[in-house]
Amino acid sequence: MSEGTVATQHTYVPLWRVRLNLFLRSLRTNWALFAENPIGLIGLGIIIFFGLFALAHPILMNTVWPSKIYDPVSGYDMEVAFHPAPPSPRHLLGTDPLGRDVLSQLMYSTRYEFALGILSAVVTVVIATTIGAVSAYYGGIIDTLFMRLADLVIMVPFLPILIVLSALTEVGMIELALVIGILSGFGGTTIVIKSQALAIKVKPFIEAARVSGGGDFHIIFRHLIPNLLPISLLYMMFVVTGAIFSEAVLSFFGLTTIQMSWGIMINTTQLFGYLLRFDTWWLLIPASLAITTLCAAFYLVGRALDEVVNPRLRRR
Amino acid sequence: MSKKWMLVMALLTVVVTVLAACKPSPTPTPPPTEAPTEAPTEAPTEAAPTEEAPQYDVYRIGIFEEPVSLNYWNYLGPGSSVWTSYVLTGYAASLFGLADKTFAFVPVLAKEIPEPYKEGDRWVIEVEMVDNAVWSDGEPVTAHDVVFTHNTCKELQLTQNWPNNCAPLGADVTAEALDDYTVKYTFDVTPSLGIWNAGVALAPILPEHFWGPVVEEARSYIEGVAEPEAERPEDCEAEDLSDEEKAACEAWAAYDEAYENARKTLYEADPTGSPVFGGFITDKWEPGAFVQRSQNPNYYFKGAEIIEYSDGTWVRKMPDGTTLQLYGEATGDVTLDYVSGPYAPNVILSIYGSQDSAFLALANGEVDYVLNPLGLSRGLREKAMQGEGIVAYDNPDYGMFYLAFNMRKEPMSYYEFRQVFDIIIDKEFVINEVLQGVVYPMYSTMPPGNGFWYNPAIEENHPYKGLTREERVNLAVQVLKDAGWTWEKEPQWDPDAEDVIPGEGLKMPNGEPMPEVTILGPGPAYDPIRATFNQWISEWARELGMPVRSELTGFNNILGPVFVNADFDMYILGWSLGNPAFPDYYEAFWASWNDTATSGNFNTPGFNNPDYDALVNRFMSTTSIEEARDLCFQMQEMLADQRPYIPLFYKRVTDLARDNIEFPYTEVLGGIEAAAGFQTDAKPHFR
Amino acid sequence: MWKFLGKRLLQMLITLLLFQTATYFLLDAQPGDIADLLALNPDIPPAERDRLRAQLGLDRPPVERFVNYIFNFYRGNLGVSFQEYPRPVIDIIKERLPRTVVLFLTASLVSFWAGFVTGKILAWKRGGWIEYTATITGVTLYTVFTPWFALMMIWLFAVTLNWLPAGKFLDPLKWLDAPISANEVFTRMITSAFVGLVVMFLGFWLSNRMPRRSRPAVRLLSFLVPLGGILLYWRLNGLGFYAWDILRHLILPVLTVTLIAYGGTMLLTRTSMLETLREDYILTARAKGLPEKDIRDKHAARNALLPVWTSLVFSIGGSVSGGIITETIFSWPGIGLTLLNASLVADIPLAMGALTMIGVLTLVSHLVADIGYVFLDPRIRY
Repeated sequence: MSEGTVATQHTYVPLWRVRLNLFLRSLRTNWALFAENPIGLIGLGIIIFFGLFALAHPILMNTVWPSKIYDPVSGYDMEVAFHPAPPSPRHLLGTDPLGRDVLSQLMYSTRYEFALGILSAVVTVVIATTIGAVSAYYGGIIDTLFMRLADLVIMVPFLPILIVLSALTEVGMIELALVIGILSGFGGTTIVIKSQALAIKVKPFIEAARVSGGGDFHIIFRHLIPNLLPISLLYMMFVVTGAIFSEAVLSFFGLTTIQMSWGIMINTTQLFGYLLRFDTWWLLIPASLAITTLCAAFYLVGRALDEVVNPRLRRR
Repeated sequence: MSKKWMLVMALLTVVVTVLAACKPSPTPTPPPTEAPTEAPTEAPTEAAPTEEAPQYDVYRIGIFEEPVSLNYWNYLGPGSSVWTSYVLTGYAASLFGLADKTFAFVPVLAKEIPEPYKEGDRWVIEVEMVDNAVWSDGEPVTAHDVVFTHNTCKELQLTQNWPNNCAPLGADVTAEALDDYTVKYTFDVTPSLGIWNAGVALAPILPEHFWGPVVEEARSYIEGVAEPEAERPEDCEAEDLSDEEKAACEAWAAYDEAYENARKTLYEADPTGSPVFGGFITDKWEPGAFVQRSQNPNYYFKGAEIIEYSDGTWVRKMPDGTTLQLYGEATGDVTLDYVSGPYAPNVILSIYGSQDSAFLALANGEVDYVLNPLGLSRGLREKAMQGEGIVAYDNPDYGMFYLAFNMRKEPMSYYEFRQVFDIIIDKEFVINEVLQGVVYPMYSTMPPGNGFWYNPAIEENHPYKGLTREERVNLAVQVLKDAGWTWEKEPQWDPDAEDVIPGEGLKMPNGEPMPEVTILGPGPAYDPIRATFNQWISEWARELGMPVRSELTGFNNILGPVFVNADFDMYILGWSLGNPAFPDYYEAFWASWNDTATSGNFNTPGFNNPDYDALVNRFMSTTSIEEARDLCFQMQEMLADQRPYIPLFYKRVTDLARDNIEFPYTEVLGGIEAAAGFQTDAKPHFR
Repeated sequence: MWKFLGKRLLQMLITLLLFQTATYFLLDAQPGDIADLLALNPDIPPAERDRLRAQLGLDRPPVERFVNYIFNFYRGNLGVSFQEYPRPVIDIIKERLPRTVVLFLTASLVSFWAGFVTGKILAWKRGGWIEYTATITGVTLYTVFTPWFALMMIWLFAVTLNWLPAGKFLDPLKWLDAPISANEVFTRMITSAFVGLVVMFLGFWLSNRMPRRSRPAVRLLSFLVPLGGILLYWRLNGLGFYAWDILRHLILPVLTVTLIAYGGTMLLTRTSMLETLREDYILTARAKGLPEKDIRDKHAARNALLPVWTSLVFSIGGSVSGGIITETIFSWPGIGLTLLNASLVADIPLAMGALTMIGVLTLVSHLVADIGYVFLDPRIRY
């Protein structure tokens, strides 16, 4: 974790440099802590793999994959007699019932899963950190209000609401990310972040900042929130998991208007009657496995970060 | 309480819940002989596989949605659903019906087909009924039952599908029992095909001796309630209502409520124990699990032989020897010959939660037949066919999927614009290449499966059928050019790449650039077939330089613009076409007075053509089926030329059943499941 | 305690109200209503459509509709299903709620218990392949794409091994001559399990007030007596055959939901144990030379249980969601499947009813969790 303040430095080193050095040093130590835990590394590895996977798609589409055949939404391979076709050198993961390449769909969808997960995580963290810091800092009525609200939001059954909502409205990627982000932002994440903020609030450097004349706004955004970021980052990971999972479930039920995603791939499988057919495994397993592993990867990274942020969990 | 207790408790709860009823004993109601010996935790793994096959003679049918209600009034009212129809088929009697396969108009309880005659200013049809038909409880089916049902429908102003049975097309129809077995109908207009043959004559008949008291109770709500004298105000929610309008609103609200209460009484009434006419009595419904039907011992047509000939002759021989022969001299080949059931002692309609599990059950031999009105996907078909002795029966569906134009707006109002879409849409390509033949291409607004009404000339003479891609593009460009459309850069066929070099800057004949238009349609998650068509069509249009965009969206978002506001550019949807014996949809979909924008009815394109209106008027009022057919042919030609719709495809209905089920016939429009005999007349051969 | 309970109940009611308000207006703002859906049926003339719209109250202003809805709701009138018109929503819910409660309750309890026990042991055995295998399994179960997992369960147990039925909740052929309805049998199953549980609970509670020596016997007895009673009951009433049929269909869905919920609890217990093990009193206990098992079960686990129990509050939502997915895949006609189907056909009253019931179910579970806390943590007194 970064140190709070560098007010006592006497040599003429520019402030930004000190900060950068401190940041790099804390990054190094934290990385060392993180790297101690193979579970986190596995998670990170999977995420990087999927990141490359997503990046490779446009490259492949522009080089070796003609879009008429390999386009994930409207592609069609006329040279294969029957779709869905099993994996072959031409289609490494086979084709779906509409004659589209499964691997291409899988890769194409990855970027949207990332976008969705990260967008909703950012929304959550922005909301939760702000609310957490503000309610911890001011306390009183603001605190009560937000905490009661959080209590309410925790109790709300999440997926059922999303199901009803998306059945009756047009829900695309962005709407979904926002809804998920807002719901988790006002809920449990806020409570955790606030309790962390409370602990930071009583630290001497906050006191020091106040004595040296820092306004509330300054203290919250320059001192409190930066120190909350590690734990926010941790909760981002869990939100990403939740967001990807929710999207997949809703798309699987055919409730979103998303054109292509892992959930939609499974939905297509069901629409064409291949869901309970275990001989056409390439229609079901790659997408399901991708959802599971990417969700797991973010969760694993989150857990490993937890051990970094929360020293009591460390072995030693 | 310590933690340990909590844990133990948790464990116990589970064990007990698992154990709550865990005494495996495969025979019902056995005397307690020995104590169960299994350890509780082992129970789940032990019990399942080796249970004896049940020894009932049951015709097992799989369905995958719950019926709405077993109340027949409700079924034709607000609770109409295809699933309900399956569990209630054959429930009601009727005077006339449609012949198997040919859909010819034939008597059921009537002795013969009567001729209408004029009496004063009203038309009259007198129907003589057979005098020996009975309900399942042995009571005779009489003219009083007919009049009772008719009057209930009219007096309670029953909704949804009922008006078509007692006041079709808004006609004023009265029914009266001249004696126990003669019904006299009178009409204020000519009893045309739509009013009589496809309307009143087919109306269901329900037993007065069972439903009489219920209807009496329902009627008590509307006792003395008269229609308010003031006209129904347009909008009772408006802010500035005058006192008169307010009074009128209240009067109408009270009136509506009285009728609503009356109807609700009827729709909510418990149908348990109601006598039925058909082959099976629906006697048990376990919600979420199954519906059980058992044989009606008094079924009037049990043992009747139905014979049809290729010249259209229809013959019914009753077991007592009475024979009825219609529509020909019984020359030509026999196309149908079967003896009416019911054969199975019991029918079980087993409710599965999804199509997937229903077909898995078929493959595993848990059911004999799966009723599947949703269309069978390829994967499910293959899966089910892996089961032993499964037979697939393919039939054309009586429906139409189409692209519609909003003819109220430019550029859809241009004849050539619509013509160009007809040119560029290569149905065979999308269906055969992309979708691999899951549906059939369609050219006329009448599905070819309905042979009597289908005008084969439309497809045979279709000018653009079978053109190559190059020919289509060149022709489309030519048509647009001739009509005064211009491009900044004209689309070109590139023979080397075998592809189009897209046009740019398309201007309409009035010199303005063509506005962007969207094709609304269900998304790939709802219906991949329509979504695929949608994408290909907009792609082809874009190649011509037309700014056309596919908007794949949820169903609810299509309904509003299309059926309520009539504010769209183009859309792709489908219709199920109703009664194949009389295609009155030619009036509903394209007559100018049914314009959605002005009347709220179903002429969504806003097709407004006086010539067509004249044809449709004659079509709806004729009593001659031959004339109606001729008019129908002309209407099909006119629609194929004017193109308010471009028909795209019709679906295939596939019935999958085990080979031990012998259906009376398997080739029929709409599939076996839509035909009357799939339960009553099917012979299950029990192994 | 009573004051706390009252306060909590009030809070629940407010939550429920807010929840209903939010969902009602969210749903209300949606395009397309049932009358538009009916519009697709060409047999229904437009006048009929308007009439139907008026009948269903769709022509009134939203606020008026909402106030009506809330008033009716708390008088037990949840409106009438559009889809199964004129069937009251409350009837549909009454029919399906027990099925969901059983699925949810059994799965929650089993997974909680099993997750706690294994998590506890795993925290003790740090490092090595056991830790990684356990973590991987836990994480996989926790993050697995539930529909896929359910499908794999079907594939394994119903298709490949053919041990258990894959869908539905009974086998119709066995019920042809059933003297009473399936719901009745089901209700009796729940009742008998509940009575048995209460008896057991009392027995165990009583045993704690007995001399130490006689405790094991009393406990054994209070376990066996209700169990035997239940078995005897079903034996004697001749309905055991039917109950067994339902039970057999219950196993696979319950197992699936249990496994899904298990991963989270297991992982959390482990973390919580690890934190507890760093406390000074554990060190003290070790220094005193107490047996490891005693330290683990009596000192550490008891304290580690608290955060896990708290997490139950969070995981309830997860179990409910998992339940919906599982119900859908297994064609289990409970509230979740009802919610999904009603949503898909825009049957707003039914969807609202089902959603509210799920909300109530969640709230009640939270309350139970809160009360449980009092028992678990002697430091908390409300």
